[in-house]
Amino acid sequence: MKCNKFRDIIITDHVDGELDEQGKQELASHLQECAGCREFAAAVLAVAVDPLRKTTPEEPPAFLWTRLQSRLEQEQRNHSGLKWLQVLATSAMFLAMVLTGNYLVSGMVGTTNSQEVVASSEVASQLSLSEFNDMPNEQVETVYNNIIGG
Amino acid sequence: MDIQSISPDIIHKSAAGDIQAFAEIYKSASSFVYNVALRTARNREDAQEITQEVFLKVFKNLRDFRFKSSFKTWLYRITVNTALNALKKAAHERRRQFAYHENISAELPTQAEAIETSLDHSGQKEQVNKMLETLNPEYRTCIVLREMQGLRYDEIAQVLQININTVRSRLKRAREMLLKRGGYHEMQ
Ligand SMILES: [Zn+2]
Repeated sequence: MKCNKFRDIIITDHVDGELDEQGKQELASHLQECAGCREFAAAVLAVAVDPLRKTTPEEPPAFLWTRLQSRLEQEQRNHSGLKWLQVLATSAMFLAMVLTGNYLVSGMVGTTNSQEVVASSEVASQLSLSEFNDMPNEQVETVYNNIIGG
Repeated sequence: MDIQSISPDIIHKSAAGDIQAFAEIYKSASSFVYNVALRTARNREDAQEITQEVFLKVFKNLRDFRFKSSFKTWLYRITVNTALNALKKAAHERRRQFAYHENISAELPTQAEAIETSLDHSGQKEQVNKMLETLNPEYRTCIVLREMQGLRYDEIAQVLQININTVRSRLKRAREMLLKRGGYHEMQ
């Protein structure tokens, strides 16, 4: 094997401990007789490997978890707020359908009924809008009260 | 406490929204995530931002985690991808700011970076980051996973979803650049 082949191995598998036994032996015997490759191996370790490998890891600051925890709690509140609204929208739709159903049974004209259905499903789709996702809880509550109260 | 020791039970509970269980995952994995972010981002503030983003993604996506790949590999992949995206975004910002002269953008430290440097007393860490900054993002993540986290070639390949020979050639290219930067010129 030529020196440049050995150097490819030195700069990768050798310094990364990925060589098998045979590979290790072949390289070792080459290094014994080749000063150039010995110098190259030393340089790779000193310049490109050791400075990075020897850095000590840093612990993340404690406030990071506190911050994350309140983000997660916020996410959950918003999520459950949204679920509430979906439940509400479904029941509103159900109620509307029951009402239009009664309407139909009581023998009124069919054309007004279909308009009624369109109108109620429009209300329902407005209720389950994804905008509520990022809304703080109090705001969701206000919207909820407006819908129910108003 | 490391990522390997996270039990399936903890993962299931966290997936169901148990924040106390998720705290266990954070405890085991935050050091890894933060240090990869530190070596990939330009300053601590960005690294903290990336760390938070990674754990938010993990929390939201745990429900879809199917235990097919190892949790460690899954988390590593989210970390690397989030860090890479942040890096690309930052590079894009810089290009926009210094669009009038390409070389200037490479030379000028950002304000945050200047502050960072003045806060960093250890000097050694500063030197390491300067070394890493010269590498393109793909090479950099390879080097960080290998040198700082001690991953084997097959593990790096799994995380980055590339083959082992690509891992090897990226490490080779990256180290050749570091050698050149360190003033080493190969003797013939
Ligand atoms: Zn040789």
